[in-house]
Amino acid sequence: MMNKNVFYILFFVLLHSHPGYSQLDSINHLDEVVLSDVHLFRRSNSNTIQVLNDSVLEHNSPALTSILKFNSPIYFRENGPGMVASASFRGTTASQTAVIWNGININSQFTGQTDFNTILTSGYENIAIRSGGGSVLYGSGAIGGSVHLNDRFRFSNGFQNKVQIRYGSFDTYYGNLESEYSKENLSVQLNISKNGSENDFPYPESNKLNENGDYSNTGINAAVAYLFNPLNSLKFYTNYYVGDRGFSGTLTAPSKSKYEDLNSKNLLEWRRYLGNFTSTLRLAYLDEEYKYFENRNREDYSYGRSKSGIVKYELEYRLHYDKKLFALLEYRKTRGEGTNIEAIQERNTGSAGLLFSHDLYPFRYELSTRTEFSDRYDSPLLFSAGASYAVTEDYLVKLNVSRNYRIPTLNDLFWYAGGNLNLRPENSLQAEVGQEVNFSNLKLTVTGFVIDTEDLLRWVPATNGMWRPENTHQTLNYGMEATANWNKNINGHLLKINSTYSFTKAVDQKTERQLIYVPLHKATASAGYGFKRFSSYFQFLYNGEVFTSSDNRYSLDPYYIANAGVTYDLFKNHLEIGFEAQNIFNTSYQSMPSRPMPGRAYYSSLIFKF
Amino acid sequence: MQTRNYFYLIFLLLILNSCEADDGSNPEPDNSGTYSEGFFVLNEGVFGQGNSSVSFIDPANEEVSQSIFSGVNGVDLGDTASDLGFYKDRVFMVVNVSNKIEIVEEGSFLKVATIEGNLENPRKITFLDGMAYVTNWGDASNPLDDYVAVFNAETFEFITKIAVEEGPENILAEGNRIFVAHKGGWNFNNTISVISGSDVEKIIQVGEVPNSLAAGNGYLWVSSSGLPNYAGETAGSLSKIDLSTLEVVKKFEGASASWHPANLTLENDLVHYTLGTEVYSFATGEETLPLEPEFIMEEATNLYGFKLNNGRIYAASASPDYTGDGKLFIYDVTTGSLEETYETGINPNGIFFN
Repeated sequence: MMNKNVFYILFFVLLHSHPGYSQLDSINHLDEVVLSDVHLFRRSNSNTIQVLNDSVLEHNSPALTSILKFNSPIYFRENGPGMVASASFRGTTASQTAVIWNGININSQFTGQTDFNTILTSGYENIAIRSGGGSVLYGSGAIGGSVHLNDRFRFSNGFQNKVQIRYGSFDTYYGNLESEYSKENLSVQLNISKNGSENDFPYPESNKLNENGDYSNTGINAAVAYLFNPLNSLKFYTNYYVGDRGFSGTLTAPSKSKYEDLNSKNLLEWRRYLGNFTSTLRLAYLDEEYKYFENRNREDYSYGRSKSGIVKYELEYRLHYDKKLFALLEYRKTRGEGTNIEAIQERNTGSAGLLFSHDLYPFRYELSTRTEFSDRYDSPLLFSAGASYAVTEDYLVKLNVSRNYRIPTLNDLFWYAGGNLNLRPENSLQAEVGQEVNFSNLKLTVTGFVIDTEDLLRWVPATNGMWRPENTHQTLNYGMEATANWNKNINGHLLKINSTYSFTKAVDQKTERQLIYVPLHKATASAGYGFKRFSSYFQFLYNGEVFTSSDNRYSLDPYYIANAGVTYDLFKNHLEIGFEAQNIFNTSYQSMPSRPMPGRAYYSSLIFKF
Repeated sequence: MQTRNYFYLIFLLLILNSCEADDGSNPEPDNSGTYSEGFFVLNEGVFGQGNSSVSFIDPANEEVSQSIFSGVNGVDLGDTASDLGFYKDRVFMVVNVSNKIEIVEEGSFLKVATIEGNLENPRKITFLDGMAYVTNWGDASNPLDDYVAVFNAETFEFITKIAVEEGPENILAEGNRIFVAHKGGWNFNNTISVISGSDVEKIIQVGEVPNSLAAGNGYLWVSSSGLPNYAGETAGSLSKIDLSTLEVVKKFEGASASWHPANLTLENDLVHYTLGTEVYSFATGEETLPLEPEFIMEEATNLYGFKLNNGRIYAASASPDYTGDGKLFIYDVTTGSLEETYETGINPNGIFFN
């Protein structure tokens, strides 16, 4: 009761007070950053991009799911903390959100989707959320939008180290070591994280515990950049993740199964500036492996493993100071094997794209197209056309139309029981109109979208009773996203409020019913307040009702949850202590049927920088 | 609490100015407590979602009562209910993924007891001489841990486990024996175990993947679906076993590899079975299989549960993507005409008459 009142007052004060200035690391506004994935920012001026910087990452739970669900319009369904979590962006399916690691698409080759609880956010400089179609640039699955994990390099910065530890309810721990060394032409960074939990929280309004939901995982992220000279650089990134988790039971069922993930990603990037040309060559190697144990006390498991080699070449040519031409060539070879796939299967795809952008400030436009060749399916010709117009310095209007796609996965093509080699990629035609307004400290964006998707891949029972994937459904998604960001620094008091709201209608074109697990409304709000060494924050999430059955007769109740935390800088930005409470209202809610989420939980943390 | 409501109100006013209308989703459970004049439909729900339910249908008044277990008892039935059986005035419901058996009074559906121990992936139940016999897969991927659990049907006390071959599914009591069809769990099997007391008396080989059993006039009939096409498709078969010698006396083989029979039932000296949604019938003394179906259950597009009772076929059909409510279609077995249609819960897998 006490807590509720305190946080309520805090939130109310944030909305109505008018205090002063000072610098506070944890709620700093986004600084200019040098990004490895340059074209995300340069070439997306007709799409909405939201960036979550490292200070936001530092003060959230380490898995990507929690940071995105509290800070973006993306809706998540999850089987519990640390369990499988999948995204729905603008009402699209879990495999229609692409996850891009330093410019490379890393969605699973088996499922086409990313389990957002297997991505640790530590070590990334920022995470960007790009709404809308992006297949021309980012390939398969960039239909609802894409989530970008970006590293960056600093130079001439000496030795920098950071150690963070966090511990809290249900034996949840997190440790992270970040080291960075740089001189004028060399930058090296290493990040090691370990994250885990017994996760045996009591189910609210029940006498049961979340059993068999323990998880532990380790992530290692390392990167090296070497500048031959300012116009010629070589970078190497590597990311390794190993996770081991029980699949938790439910309100009505026990569980003894277990799942292991072992993923590694390597990327070598060579960039050269030559007069009006910029050339970037990327070589990537991705290795993805899972093991599923029906009974964790037995040795038997089923597994899948895929290895992908990618060559991606980009050449940018500046025709004139305001005109740019950009060419893209990509070749991807994927090899998959596993218990549920016969023999070793291979998929080869090559693609070529061309982009043109013209900056006639206040008017800018960009046109692009991409074609793909594959030995397994025929891909549609993709395109994107976008324009933005700055009506005034503080008011920008954007428009974008694009065709995007999602390719069949290894499971769709080669599953031992039902794999179908006669599939087409899913494809969507979509459009969006956005507006961006700036009033001194307030930035508002409102974007309306429509996505018409056909040939959706679904596993459906055939006449002989066997399930197999078919290009069957058509869906129509439309709605709007709005964001509001406000920050003010008054006499040392730093205030910041970020909020998102999305309205999403996503219907099956045949039944005209809302798709399952797509809430009509989702809203997030976060508020930060800092003064001198003290800072605090408050996060809020509202998820509307979601249907769990396609006849729309069964649903999960809407819910709102909130987190709040405080940090205090004990010693000149070198030692910070923090305390956080999650689900402060102790809301009882479910993201999936029969799977209650935790009630109120507490965490404390220590950050040491040297 | 007040603070919470106030906060919520402010939030709604600030950000959301549209409200979701309650469209009557999550159907109301029935708790009238009078379930004697009619039959039960078991709805398994969606695997992992704990939304199994029982519908009670009163055909005389054409009334359906949904979710009667949770309505009467105030608790959910559980995850993936797989069978329902009657013993004296009690109803036993096997709940597969929840690893339990719920027992209720038949007329009121009031909960009597729950059996939770000694069950691992329980599937089907039958009764003989005051005992309940329940087939258990153990781990579905493990061929060596399958068993039939025996409980006292009056006291619910655990008696013993009878180790059996891989994948015991349907179970039938006939005479003083128990017959178990081994479909094979996640694998495939092709046998019938004959249990006498607490021992496996004999293992009878039948066609691949035996999926239904029926007994009458001194014979046990078994339908076997054959292997599905991903496992090297084979034709199914029907086996006729002499109950006095426990020998297969006649095996009807399908003519093509895509022939996969199911739902074998005996009534009035006729054998009935299904191929997809087609219903076939032949006299028990016939030497060959019928070539033409009696009729097609056209409405039951996702046939999930089947029962022949007193000249009528009860065909339960799941919703198109197996997430929503199903339907029950009742046909006249001789004319094939659709007589009645009822709504059921999610994924109805069985129809049960006492």
